[in-house]
Amino acid sequence: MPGGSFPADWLRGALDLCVLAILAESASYGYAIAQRLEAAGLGAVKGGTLYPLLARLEAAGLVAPSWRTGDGGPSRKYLELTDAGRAELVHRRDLWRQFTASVDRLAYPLEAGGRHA
Amino acid sequence: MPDQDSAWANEFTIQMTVQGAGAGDIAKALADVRAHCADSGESAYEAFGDPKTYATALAAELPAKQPGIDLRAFGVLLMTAVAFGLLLVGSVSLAESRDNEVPLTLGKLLLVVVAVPAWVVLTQTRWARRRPRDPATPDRPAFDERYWRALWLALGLAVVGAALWIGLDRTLWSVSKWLFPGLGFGLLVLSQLARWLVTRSAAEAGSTAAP
Repeated sequence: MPGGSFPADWLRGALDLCVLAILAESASYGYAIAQRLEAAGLGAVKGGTLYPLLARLEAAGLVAPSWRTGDGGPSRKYLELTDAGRAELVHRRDLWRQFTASVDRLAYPLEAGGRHA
Repeated sequence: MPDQDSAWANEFTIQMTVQGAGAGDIAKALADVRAHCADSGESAYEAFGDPKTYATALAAELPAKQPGIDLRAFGVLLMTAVAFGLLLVGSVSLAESRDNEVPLTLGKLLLVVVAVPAWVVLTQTRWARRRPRDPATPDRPAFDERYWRALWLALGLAVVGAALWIGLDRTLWSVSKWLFPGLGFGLLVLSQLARWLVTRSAAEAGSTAAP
């Protein structure tokens, strides 16, 4: 859904999974993650929402930080998925699939078994 | 950083400090803000919203500090406490003695090496001085029984210290009346030098945390 007008609660619920998935592609930093989320159609995620989430992932040991200096620009904190982060991503992907299947079954009762049947 | 963002950073820093975040965590968070604003072209307020709200949200996600004592800072505190004890006893000795020598009593000794340091530790250590904040009302300290217990203990120790001084008056040695003030002044100078060194090394650690 380009335009990103999803209810904010939906985004908050799925943001951990989305960020873990982005970091599974490659190490990245706050602004680039926000850009990637926007490009995926999730809308503009403000720093005030994104960075506390990144701090939570870091505190939980799911991502590891490293500071890199840009060309003449400010230092950036790159985040890389840890082994625990990769395992958590696999777990959350499974959970998300089950969750959306359950929601589909309720939201689309006429389509037998929901959309993921 | 533009003036507007400097004001934002100041408010953010204050609120992070109120929330109990360390200097290193605050420096790293500000480095994130600077990098994000440089990339996006937004002001700190546009990108992160109200600094107090952002600081509260971010501090809640930081790992809890490990309870423990900074031994170097604690050592400085004890040195300062003993120095004040020596100066206290020394100034009274100077005032009351007409001779060049004053009696060194057990009471004075216990006051300097036990009662005054214990009193200072009770009233000046972080857990007694800085009361925790309730997340619902972060702008004012929460009720904490330990704080009041420490205050009452400190008051009790002051009374015990005075009682020791007056009660245990058997002379152990006679010493020069300038000994206590001299030792106290010397130790005070040393303790302030040590405090400066500890503060400087902590500041250097904080500035290197976020390159």
